[in-house]
Amino acid sequence: MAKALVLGNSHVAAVKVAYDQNRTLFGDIAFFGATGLDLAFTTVEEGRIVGADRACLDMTILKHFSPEAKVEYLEKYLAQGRPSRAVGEQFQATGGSARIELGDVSAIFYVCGASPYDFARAGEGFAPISSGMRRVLLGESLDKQFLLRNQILALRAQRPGLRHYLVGSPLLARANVKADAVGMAAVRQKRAAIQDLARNYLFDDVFMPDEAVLEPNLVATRAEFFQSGREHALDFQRDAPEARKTDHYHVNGAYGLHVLSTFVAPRM
Amino acid sequence: MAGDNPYDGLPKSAFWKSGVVTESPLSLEGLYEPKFRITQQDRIATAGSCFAQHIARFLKARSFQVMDAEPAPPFLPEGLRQAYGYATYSARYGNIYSSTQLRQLAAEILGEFRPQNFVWRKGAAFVDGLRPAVEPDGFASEDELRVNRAFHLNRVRALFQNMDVFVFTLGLTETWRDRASGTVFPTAPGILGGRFDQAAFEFHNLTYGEVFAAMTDFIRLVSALRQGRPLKIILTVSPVPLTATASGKHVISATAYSKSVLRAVAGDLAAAHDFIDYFPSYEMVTNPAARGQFFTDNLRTVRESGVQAVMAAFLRAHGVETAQPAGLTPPPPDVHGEADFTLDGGASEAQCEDALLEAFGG
Repeated sequence: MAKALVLGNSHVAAVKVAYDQNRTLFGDIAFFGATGLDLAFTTVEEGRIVGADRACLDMTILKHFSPEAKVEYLEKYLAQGRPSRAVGEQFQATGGSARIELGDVSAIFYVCGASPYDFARAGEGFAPISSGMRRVLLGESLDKQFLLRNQILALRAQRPGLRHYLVGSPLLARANVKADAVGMAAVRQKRAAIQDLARNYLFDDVFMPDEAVLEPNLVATRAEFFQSGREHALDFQRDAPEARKTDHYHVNGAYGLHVLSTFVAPRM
Repeated sequence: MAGDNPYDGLPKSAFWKSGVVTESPLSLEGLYEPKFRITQQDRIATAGSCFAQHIARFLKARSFQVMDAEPAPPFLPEGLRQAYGYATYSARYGNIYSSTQLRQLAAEILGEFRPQNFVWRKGAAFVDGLRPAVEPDGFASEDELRVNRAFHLNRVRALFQNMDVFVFTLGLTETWRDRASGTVFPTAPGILGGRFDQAAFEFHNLTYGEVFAAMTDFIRLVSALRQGRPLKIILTVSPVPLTATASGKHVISATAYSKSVLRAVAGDLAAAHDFIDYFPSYEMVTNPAARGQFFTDNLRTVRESGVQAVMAAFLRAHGVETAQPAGLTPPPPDVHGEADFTLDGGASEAQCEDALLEAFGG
């Protein structure tokens, strides 16, 4: 069984593509995905992650997970109270098994749209955030409102040795975000504060995009990492119609390789 | 109109009996006749002492464009926003109690003044002494504080440049300042952070001339920022008495001095400039016809009913409300123990640093 599990929504595709192209460089990793916010419809049973028909959700939780999603899109989850498609089927299609057996897995990497580093997408812009306020915001986004909070807590109870890591998707696909010197000082401070604080919450650590993948403004992701990203995401989740319509933020295998090399591999 | 004496033919508002005694304190006819109308198309900025928070709240509720140059991070819980200085005024400057504090802010934005001794310690944290209440836990470092302040000044600059109407509530003449630089603080060092060092800081009670000069300077500085683009200013005087005075006088005398000076300056500025108007919120709350009913049991905090009465008068005068707002009734004379403003619903707890003085003054 794999030592690491990478689990997420369509953003997993970038990491999966990179892994498939560079398999000899990395250890054994299992990949599973479910589209959009369908991962909420999972539960932990005897140390396994399985699909569920229902989930207790509210708009705040959905918005934290996918801040840029249109309200109408999120409302569908609340109105239907069901995943867009059975999660077991999606696990089967992406990982080859309807349930995720954790076996020897020692670390789970959750790859999805939400990350504390998404401060631009979360509407903070270049406004500085004090460390005190950042603690409040991290507490909200990770400890209280994270979509998979209950599952992670269950896993921590049932598999105490298992480590949990969060890999957020890129901050912004647009390179035209400009900041003056004051804004840049704020961005640097925000990044430093998040780096200091984020691992004190639900996750053992959180991936932070570094200067190698970011524009000089440290907010937008460099354009080269978006080339063909969309196709990869569709390929990985070829049965996910929502992904096709809302696909503006997917990075490519080059970005996935960066995630694998700088964050996943050192923690396996 | 010619008559036997110069009072003949004057409107009833000119006489105490017909203008006050027989009138409802909720709608004193002729007390406020705006010099200019504000509309829902005007971009309005608000600042001042804590009473000004209510003005912003009511204007927002009536769909006026109250500017917010520093909106709260969307994921900051609603209940914490005021505690962090958001959603209170048009920027995160906290309460600006004095005219010299307001002038100083504009001068700092323009680079004409560099405040000193404003980085205060509060345990391990750092407090921005120029807006000490906007970060409940303070900043983690001086650098964090300065980055936040620089951003704040940028936003206030944009606010001052883009506003159409500036509503400012004059609150206090009593100030605390740094002796060497003259830097003015909203609270005495030692209350919300820092330590009161008599060699470094001093009390100063502003005179009429100083308040008038500070306001005139502020207008000049903002005009420079706006490169002459027209601006309308509405001045009010906070009806809230002083919590405590450091003047050595009785707090009643100190309050009378402070409010008199501020009222006189506001009136003179309004008389001197077409673009400045005075809104008599002070008179509406404190006039004898109100019989003190607009104050809560501490005889200081303005009840929500008082705020509603003031703002209803303001809105009516600007053509927004022609009738009493739903649910607004004259305060019954025997009301006691009415709850102060709450965060829920339409009312809101005003954030007043000076209220902390009660903890010190008993």
